[in-house]
Amino acid sequence: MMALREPNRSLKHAPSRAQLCSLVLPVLVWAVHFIAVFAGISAACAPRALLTHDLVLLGTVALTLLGLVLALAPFLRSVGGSPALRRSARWAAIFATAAIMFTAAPVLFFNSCGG
Amino acid sequence: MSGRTVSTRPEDRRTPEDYSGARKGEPGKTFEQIWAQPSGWRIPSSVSHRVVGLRFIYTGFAFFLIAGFLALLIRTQLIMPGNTFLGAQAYNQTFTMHGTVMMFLFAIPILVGFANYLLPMMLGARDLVFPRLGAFGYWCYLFGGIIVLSSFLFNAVPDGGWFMYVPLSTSQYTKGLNADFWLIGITFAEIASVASAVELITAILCARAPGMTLTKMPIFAWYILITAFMIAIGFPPLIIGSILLEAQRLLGLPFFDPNLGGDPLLWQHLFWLFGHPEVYIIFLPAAGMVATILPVMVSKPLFGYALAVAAVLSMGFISFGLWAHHMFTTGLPILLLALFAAASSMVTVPTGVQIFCFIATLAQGRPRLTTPMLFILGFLFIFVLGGLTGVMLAAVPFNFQAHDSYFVVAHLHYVLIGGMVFPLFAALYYWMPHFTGRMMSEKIGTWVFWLMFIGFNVTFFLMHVTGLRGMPRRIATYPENIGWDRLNMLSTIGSYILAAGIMLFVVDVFRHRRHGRPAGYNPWNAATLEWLYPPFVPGFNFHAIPPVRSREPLWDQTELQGGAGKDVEGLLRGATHNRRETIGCDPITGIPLQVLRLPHPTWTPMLTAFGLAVAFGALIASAYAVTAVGTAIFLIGVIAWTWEPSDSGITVDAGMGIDLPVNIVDRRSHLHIAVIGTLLVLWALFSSVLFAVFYLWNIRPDIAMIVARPDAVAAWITLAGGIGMALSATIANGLALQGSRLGAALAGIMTVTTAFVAGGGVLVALLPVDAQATGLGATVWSLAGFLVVNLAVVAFWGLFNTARKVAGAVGPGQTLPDMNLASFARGIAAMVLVVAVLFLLAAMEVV
Repeated sequence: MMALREPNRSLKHAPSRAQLCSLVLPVLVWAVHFIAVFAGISAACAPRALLTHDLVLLGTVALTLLGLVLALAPFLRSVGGSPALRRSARWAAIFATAAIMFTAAPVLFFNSCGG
Repeated sequence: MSGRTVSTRPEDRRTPEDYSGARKGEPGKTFEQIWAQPSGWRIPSSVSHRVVGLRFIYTGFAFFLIAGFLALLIRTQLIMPGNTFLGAQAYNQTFTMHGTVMMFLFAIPILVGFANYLLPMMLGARDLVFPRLGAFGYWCYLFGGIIVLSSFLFNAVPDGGWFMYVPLSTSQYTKGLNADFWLIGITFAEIASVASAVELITAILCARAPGMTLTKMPIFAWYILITAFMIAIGFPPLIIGSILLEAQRLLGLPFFDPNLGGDPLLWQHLFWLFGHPEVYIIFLPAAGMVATILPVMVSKPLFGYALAVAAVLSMGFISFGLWAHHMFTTGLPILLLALFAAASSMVTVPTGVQIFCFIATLAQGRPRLTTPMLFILGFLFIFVLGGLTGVMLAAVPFNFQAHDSYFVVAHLHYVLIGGMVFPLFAALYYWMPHFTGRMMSEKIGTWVFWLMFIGFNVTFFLMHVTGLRGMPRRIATYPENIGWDRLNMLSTIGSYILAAGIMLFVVDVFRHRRHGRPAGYNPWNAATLEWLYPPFVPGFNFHAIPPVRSREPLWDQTELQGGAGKDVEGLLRGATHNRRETIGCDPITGIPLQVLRLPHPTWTPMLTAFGLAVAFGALIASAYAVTAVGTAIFLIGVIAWTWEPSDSGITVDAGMGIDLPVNIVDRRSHLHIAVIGTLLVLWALFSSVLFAVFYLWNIRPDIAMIVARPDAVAAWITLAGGIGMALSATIANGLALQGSRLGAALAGIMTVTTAFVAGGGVLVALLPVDAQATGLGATVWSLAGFLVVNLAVVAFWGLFNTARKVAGAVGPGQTLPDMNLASFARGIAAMVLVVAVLFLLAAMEVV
């Protein structure tokens, strides 16, 4: 009789909640990073001028470094389960890492709101 | 393990005598009869995913033909300089309706139709998990589309462009009902998409065949899952924007009026926060179709499944960070332009990865050059070209030159027609045998392809040049001898060739119904489960739901091959319990978790959508009494829909030696996941209003200074009410789980009471603020209004749950409604918390 309560023939290759989290975490980190950078630029460049450009730069650097570490988590900590989901998580980490760097780049290259 | 597996949960052991399930069931009917489709005048009451899916597809295609006809009118007007085929006003209406119908009434709905039709069969389910919601979505879409198109009958056709920029679309410059038809009709139609999104998310996560883990799902399911999440988050900004604009038109609230502290750019931000994800929402399901069809044509699995999943997921997220590239010329700070230029360039990476996966799949074998394959090759060529011009437009200096020129028209048609229409035609040729049992003609199909391919490229490639020569968008005519004449004439001729190809397809659709070759079993030698049976698939999809061990089950699992679908071993073989049922699974592992009870044919979705249509339509006519009647019909429909005996609390034989609980009371329940999905949508709506508040506060500090502060005491009461509501609902759930019906009912009353307290508090807190005096005041009132509506839903739900307990309609173990309300109330309470803190900070002059 098929062991229907167990996916496939071996539980150890089944996707797990931790794996799913490791797949989604990098892109979630990018999203938070993007929102923070966008908010910082808006705060600095709008008429209210809540922040200076230097603060935005500092914040961006700090968030970017933190974001890169978190986004690369699937490489730093391998979660067992489905090999396919593990590969997906690592690829997602690569895409998210690149996206985080692309997001941070304008703040690093510009020294003002630019007019 | 041998013998039966019996649930050990206490609430599942009880099987009271009256829990036969027959109260909603059809005793005395066979399995086939229970799943039979209604016939005759009852046909519209069908809620089957295949019927609803085909309705979406046929209706969407009809809108495609209408919008295509409008495109031919545009091209005819532009065939020569100084043409008077259409007047300027008529031209404005034509291009507005062309874009509106294509983007809102064709692209998304037809793809939703394919998803509705295919997914249950691909996933190993007998239907989607919320068939009535799918049917309701269809009727909302149809009625919304009718409202928009009825503007032709009232001489009030929208004419402000498909994106309805302010101030042109405000009542100052659009005095008639044109904009109202657009705003109200499209918002109504969008409800369909959002409802579909929640349904698809839940179906993909909760209703898969045993053993179908997330990584054994067909790749199409991943594309749809991510698209559905994008719809849930991406549509709300436009819904909010449309409501705000309509409120400005009707009530004079100055959201977008710069004289009173509003900002026209707020509309653009809200629109494009929707508008850019929208084009990826259109692209991804079509790419999913390519990812499904291409491997079949090559007879090899998709190359890089894991890579493709990561790319689609990344694309789904990153596409939300590009919106302002539609606003490069609006005067945004250059640093912000650079941010969006970088993001817009970056998104090409995951997009390109998917294209490389497709090309690598092609390279694995020798593709069969069938008509679907031709359209896929066309997609690759056209979409890649469109992507390249997209990268060009992402460069800000180039964008400054090309913005609002025909270069952009060329780009958007390359990505949308290449990225969606060509895959759609591939899908129509590929799955038409499944719909009708007959094959389309390969000979005619080849003609269709080449006419469309050549026609399309002649029409739109030349527009790159036209645009670079300076021709702006949306102009009704142009002077002669400035270098646009011949290009426009050739583009128009190309459009007629494209139209001829589409018409030939329509002819073939009708022709093949009578003369097409019978399809037989699995005519394409496909891998996925929708081809398990020879067309036509029985109404119940599967005699028994088979366990799945492979991503390509029809290629790898010998017991599923050969067309003997009815003999396959699986769960729920012929089991009726007098009800329509399918298997519910763990969202990640695919382990069978529950038996899902499904509704039988019913009129309530149509009635409920009709009530909403009356309410929305009457709003356009300012017939508010009729709006109230329509709203009442809607509420009656909702009550009739949801007041039904619960199915939880019993365990049934699911076959293959296992017993499963029915409609499990668990966070992994399909109903609970739908509540979480709904909360996601509501939080996206809430965040959109919050965005508007912060935007105006930040952009217009001069106006923010003169807006009155909220009342601090009322803000504290709001906070207390919100916390009390979350606690009450949680306690109600806990007491219900313990079997204390009286306790749960009393806690339910407390939930209602605290919801009223929170709602009252937030309204009183804002009494000092004049909504009509400033844009910021208006947006803050909108925030409060949104919160009050959701608190009203919590109150209504709490009363509903309590009423059902008092009426004795809730049996032991039937505590899903309490669990769901507890989660919903906590989600809304978090919104209350945010608003209350904001009001307190404002009251204390911190912000």
